[in-house]
Amino acid sequence: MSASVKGIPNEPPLTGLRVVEVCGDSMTAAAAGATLSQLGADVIKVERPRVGDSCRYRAPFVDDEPGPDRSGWFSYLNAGKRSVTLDIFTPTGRHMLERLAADADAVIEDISAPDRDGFSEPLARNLFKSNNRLVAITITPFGTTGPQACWRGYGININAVAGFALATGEPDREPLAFPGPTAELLTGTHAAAAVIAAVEERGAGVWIDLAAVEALELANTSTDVIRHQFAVPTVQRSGHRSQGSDGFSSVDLPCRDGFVHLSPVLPGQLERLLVVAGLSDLVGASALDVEAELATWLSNITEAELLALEFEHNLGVLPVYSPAEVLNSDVWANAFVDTQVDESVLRLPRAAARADGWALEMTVRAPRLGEHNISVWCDQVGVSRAELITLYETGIL
Amino acid sequence: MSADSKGFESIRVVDLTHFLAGALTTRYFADLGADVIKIETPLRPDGLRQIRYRAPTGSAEELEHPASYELWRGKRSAVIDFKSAEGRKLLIDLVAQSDVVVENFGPGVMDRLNLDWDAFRGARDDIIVVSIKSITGGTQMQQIRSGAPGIQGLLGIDRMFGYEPDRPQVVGRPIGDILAGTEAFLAAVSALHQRRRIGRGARITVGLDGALMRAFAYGYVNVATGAIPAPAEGNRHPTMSPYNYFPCRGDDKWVSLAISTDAEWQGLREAMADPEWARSDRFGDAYQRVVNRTELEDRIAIWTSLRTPIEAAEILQAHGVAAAPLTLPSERLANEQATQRGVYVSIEHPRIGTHWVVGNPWRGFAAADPGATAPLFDQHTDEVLRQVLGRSDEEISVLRETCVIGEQTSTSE
Repeated sequence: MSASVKGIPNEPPLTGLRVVEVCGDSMTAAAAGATLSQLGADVIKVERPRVGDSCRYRAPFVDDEPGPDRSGWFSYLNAGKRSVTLDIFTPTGRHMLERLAADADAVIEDISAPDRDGFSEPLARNLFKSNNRLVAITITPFGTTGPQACWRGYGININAVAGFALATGEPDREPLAFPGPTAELLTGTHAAAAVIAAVEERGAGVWIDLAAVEALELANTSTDVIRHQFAVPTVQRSGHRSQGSDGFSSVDLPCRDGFVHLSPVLPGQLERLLVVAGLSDLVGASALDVEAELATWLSNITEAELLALEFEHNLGVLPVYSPAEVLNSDVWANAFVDTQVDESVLRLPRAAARADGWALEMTVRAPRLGEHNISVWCDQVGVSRAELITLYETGIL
Repeated sequence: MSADSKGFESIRVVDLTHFLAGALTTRYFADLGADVIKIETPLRPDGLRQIRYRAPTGSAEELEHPASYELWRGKRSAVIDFKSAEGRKLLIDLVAQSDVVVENFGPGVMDRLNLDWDAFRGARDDIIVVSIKSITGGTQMQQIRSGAPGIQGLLGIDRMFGYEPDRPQVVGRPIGDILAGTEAFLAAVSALHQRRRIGRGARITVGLDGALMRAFAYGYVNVATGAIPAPAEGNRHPTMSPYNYFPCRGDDKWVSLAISTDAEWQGLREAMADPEWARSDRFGDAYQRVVNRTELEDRIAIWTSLRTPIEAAEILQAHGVAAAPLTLPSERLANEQATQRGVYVSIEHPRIGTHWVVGNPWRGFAAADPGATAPLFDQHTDEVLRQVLGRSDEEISVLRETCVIGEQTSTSE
């Protein structure tokens, strides 16, 4: 779909932006790079020689058949990027990374302190020092300063500190973290926003020290902290029921063939819902009585019937779809894009923003390990073929 | 990077948003130093002003929604009845002096107000207009009016996690709003980048649906690969074990703990004084630990339950194990790490006094200005009309008398 709209040439907004991405074992830097790549940036991914990004080994694999080019996650986060290999923990590797970054607008990196392998400074900070036009960002779980600078942290730890887990799960059971790498993806999007803001803000570069817990805490609108100061009750874990302290209440309930989200909180919705359900005598009854009667009514109705009623009457009742229903629905056909993975084609989420001329078809598959070593190291950076071969044989790339 | 880059202080944003999502988008701009003008109409203040809280005991003062103090900081408030012809002209004149417009009206509202893309673009050819919508897919679905939790359910988020399959769990936060707010900022600033390069504006739509899909890609990636998805089972992780919240001493106290590598497992054994059971081959490698997850986590819970979350986390981290307490807001505010890093910024508000807000987490630039309070309703209307639109004091007082601008004391529908 490359046709231009009303004479506007198709050109994603970050066309021409050159980004270098160096990943640790978290998925945050890869997610930040993916966000920029989806908006048209040219992202070069630096991977460990021989092994590559640990995400290549992360399930799910296409048709449950493992392989470094068959990971759904790797494909989702790396479509459209270029891959080079480099052992950044050698002096030669460090020098080559500097040469690569000399031509870049931005460097994204998420190697946390315990994995820095003897180097005392965050990688991106070092690169910024040798090229201060660069926008460089280091993403770590807790930040690179303060008493917890060397703490280790995975998704569940970040969730714990940032406050989301306080409000997710049943009250009498363990809290629930976000599913899979959600905290990491969210941090990555936030990092990408910071990078573009910095590119626009500065005539010169900057080194940004982004803590995942702080990005996630902001995503929590952190109103918890404000509520606490003014003694407004904080939101507690309430399972399948959401009870905000804003008088808001909503609940997921079974219907005949699935689940529905019942949230008749806008003016008039509850009254209309009770009329439609033939329960108008319950107007003014206690919330729990109303819910019990509605639950009985819902158990005889399908998701599709409910959606039709919602379209007709605006009741505040929506189906709770499964991810498969969403992925296969015509409604969101444009929200996903076909991405080639090995011999298969996957439908995966695309950039959230739509604008005339921005359409970016993510048909470029994720790169194979070191696929762009020659085009990047030789053609772009200026390494000779003979040097390249020596670097390869010595395990630098 | 071109030499004419002047940063955000020369950027003006017309903020037509209400509630959460759009307010966060423009808040990023405010923290960067842009001139963000929050527009409300005389009879329809932002919904966050209408949800009132009783202040703590001992004070008769009512609070606005706590989020407003955080989301509106550093913005100016101008009250303009843009539903009237005069007011609409003021708004269009303001857009002509601005770079970005952000709105998140309900379905069809902008069209009804005759404030569409053409109207804004007529005012300024390279204007960037960002619309935040609940649903972008399907014409009928776009008409749905629902808060973020309903959209989160619709998108399948509630079914991506839980303690057992087929028991959806709600995310107790309007995360869809926040994700869309950040995505909309990302899009707007990307459009500014493009405008600087090729001189073109943009008409951008960001949906809560698209934003949720990217962050919660977990569910879709699983389905798309055709892999058999692992059933929802609490916090279980496919390759890390243990990976969970563990009960600690006290009421509803928890510590998070995750092990990925053998070195981390060794650290955990040392932290627990290497008990006999931990030396078993049943936990001797990552595969064994995943397979024997339930037994392993039960045993670790005995160790954690004798300690407070912070005691447990500090011992574990000292041994190279990823662990962190489930942190309450009160604990977070007092947290040494957060304090040292300047996570919270103290702001003096004319009505509610000094309070802490979460600053912008981009350490290195765009820190929130401690002087940047959330504006009172109508606080800057006259100033904006004078400074930005060049209206005289006489013109302003006529506009006020005819109820085109400013807070209204009597209702005149």
